[in-house]
Amino acid sequence: MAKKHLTKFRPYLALTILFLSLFTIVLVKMEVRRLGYTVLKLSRELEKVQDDLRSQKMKLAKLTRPSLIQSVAKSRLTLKEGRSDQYIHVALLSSIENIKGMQERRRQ
Amino acid sequence: MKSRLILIFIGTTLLWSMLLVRAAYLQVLPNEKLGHLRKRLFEKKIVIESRRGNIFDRGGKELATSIEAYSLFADPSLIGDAKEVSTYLSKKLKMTRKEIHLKIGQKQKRFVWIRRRLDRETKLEIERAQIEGLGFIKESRRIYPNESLMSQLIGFVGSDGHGLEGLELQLENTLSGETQTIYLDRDARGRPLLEDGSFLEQRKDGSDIWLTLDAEVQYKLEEELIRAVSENEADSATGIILNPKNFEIIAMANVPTYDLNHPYRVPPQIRRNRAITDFFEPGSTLKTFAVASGLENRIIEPNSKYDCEGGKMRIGKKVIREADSHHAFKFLTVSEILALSSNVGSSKIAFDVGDKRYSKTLSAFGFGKKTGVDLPGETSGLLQDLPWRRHLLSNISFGHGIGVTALQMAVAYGAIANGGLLLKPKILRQRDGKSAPKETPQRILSREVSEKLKMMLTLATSPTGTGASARIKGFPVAGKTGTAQKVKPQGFGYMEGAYLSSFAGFFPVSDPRFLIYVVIDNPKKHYYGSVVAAPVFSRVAEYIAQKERLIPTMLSKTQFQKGLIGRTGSHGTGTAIPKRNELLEGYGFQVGDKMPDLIGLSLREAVKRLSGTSMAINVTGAGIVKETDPVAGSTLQEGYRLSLVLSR
Repeated sequence: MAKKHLTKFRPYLALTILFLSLFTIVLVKMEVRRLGYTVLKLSRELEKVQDDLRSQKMKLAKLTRPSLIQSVAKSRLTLKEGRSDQYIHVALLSSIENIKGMQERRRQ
Repeated sequence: MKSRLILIFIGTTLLWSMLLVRAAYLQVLPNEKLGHLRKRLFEKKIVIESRRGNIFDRGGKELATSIEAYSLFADPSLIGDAKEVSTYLSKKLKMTRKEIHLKIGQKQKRFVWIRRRLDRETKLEIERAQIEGLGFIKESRRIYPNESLMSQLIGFVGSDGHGLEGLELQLENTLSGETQTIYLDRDARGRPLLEDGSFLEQRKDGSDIWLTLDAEVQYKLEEELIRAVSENEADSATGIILNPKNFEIIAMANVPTYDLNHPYRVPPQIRRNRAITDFFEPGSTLKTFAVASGLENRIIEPNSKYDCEGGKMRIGKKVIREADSHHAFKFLTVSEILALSSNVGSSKIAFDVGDKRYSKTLSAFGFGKKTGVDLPGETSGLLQDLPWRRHLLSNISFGHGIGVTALQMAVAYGAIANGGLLLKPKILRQRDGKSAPKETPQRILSREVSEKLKMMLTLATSPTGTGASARIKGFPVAGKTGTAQKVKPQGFGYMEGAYLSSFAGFFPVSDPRFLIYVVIDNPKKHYYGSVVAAPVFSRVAEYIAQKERLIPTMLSKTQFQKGLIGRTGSHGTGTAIPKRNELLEGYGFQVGDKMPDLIGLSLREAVKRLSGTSMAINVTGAGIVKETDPVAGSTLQEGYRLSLVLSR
């Protein structure tokens, strides 16, 4: 009996599966199309952000150019260039070694 | 009846066949016209503009970069009130109303540029006004954030974004990328249909390049050259700083400079990189190579003596004189000839060497040929063909009768500083993501000869030498001054009262890290190299020493005898060791002095008291000096370390 019912509904089932498949294909294609628009939009935003980054880097480079830094240091911060006699060069010996060395030489 | 039916059947079949054939013709066979039509209706052309590569200095500082820019165009046929639009745009674009009206008033035209490469803020402001007939096209604009720094070296691009001068031209292929055009299907609104975003990764941008130059050192060099030009009322100046270990160019400056963002505000001669494009007679800085040739060919030694004939020597009908008429030298050693810059002395050395050997030496040092640096417009200079008559040989020995570029001089002195090894000068550190390939150095002088030359050049900057004003505290300097008369523009004879002042030197002598060559063109106030160029060297070298945190050199007897002084010579008598104590004392080394009493002084005061000695000072603690080693009154011995203990 059940088999007879199945046989009766087979064509309708086939048609349903067919329509569902076609519907799915259409939905997937629409989704691909939609994602394509999203990718395009994001790519434009990415380009805009990259342009912004380059522009900011350029502004930073302009602000850190040696002539401007020197000008600001001298005029606004009243700094002066160091003279050679203002630099103290300290040799790279640890403090303990230094004292030990001194004590050794004194004993001698 | 039957025949009619057959006829109708045949006719209908024929018509349908024709349709089928036509359909097959249209769909199967390729058709250019239809292809174009399809493209126009269903495809969108996308141009992927490449971005030009950036130029960085050795520290990663941007020297040239490209940013987005928008070029404003108009369709005059769509513009309503041209006068109103001109008035509005003139305020925004800082152009005259007449200029704009001239462009948009031509109603028959469909496209005119109004202004190229505007910034984004201006573009947005104009867009907000929503004026019909105006539009923007996105382009890129080259920006040089440091304005006039390294201007002749970097060069600039034209309105089409291609390099026109300097590195922008030389490295055009590396810096410019590849603009690509792709075709994608589009929808009814004209938007491209993307099935995958892989085309976005197809952008072929230009490669970035990293230079060997240091922007801060370059700035200091340019600043000092500008100061020298101003103080001495000179026409121009050129300077090069080189690392003699690897021949990387750290700075290359020409003044006057110009703003790279506005290159056409100066005449073309200012834009030229004179360090490589112009050659000149270098003067006394070339004497070093006559001596080098003599030493290398074992014809002379540093202590060989020459009779300088009281400062005047006759060659045929011509007379060779010293640069300073007061210099009536008699007998001078080769070291002294270099230190005191005797023209007669160098001529006699050149006669002993001979034109063939001397020419070979000069050629080995790179004179008369291009250095091969990666910059456009380099000249090879001028080295005359053999044979050289005696007068010419004499002239060349003291730097006349030969044409050299500033870079050639720097490279030649670099070979001396580098122990006799010559390399190609480098300006690129990294290109296309790859470092510059390693090069095999070429030996042009023996190590022994180069050490002897270093010693003699160090004497030249001693208090009695012509280069005394090139000295810097704490570091022995080797160098040579040059004062050359300028050749007349026509090429025959010399200009009256016009000179080129130069100085070539390197430091520290024991381990040369920096070579600096400076040449000042036509200084009017003073003209001797020792007065004009040597102080520039000194100031720049001092800056570099502080910036690079070089530890002052300790001068000990061992150091002098070990590497800096040559052995006994074969020409003449005596040893090759020059007056050692004179040299030591010349650098503030107080041999035999007593330790001062520093107890109770602050560190700054103590160091000030000890300045004038090149000895290293070890400091422990903070506050005021409590103990010293050696104690006050002790004799200072060479090679000793001074120790200070401080506490609060």
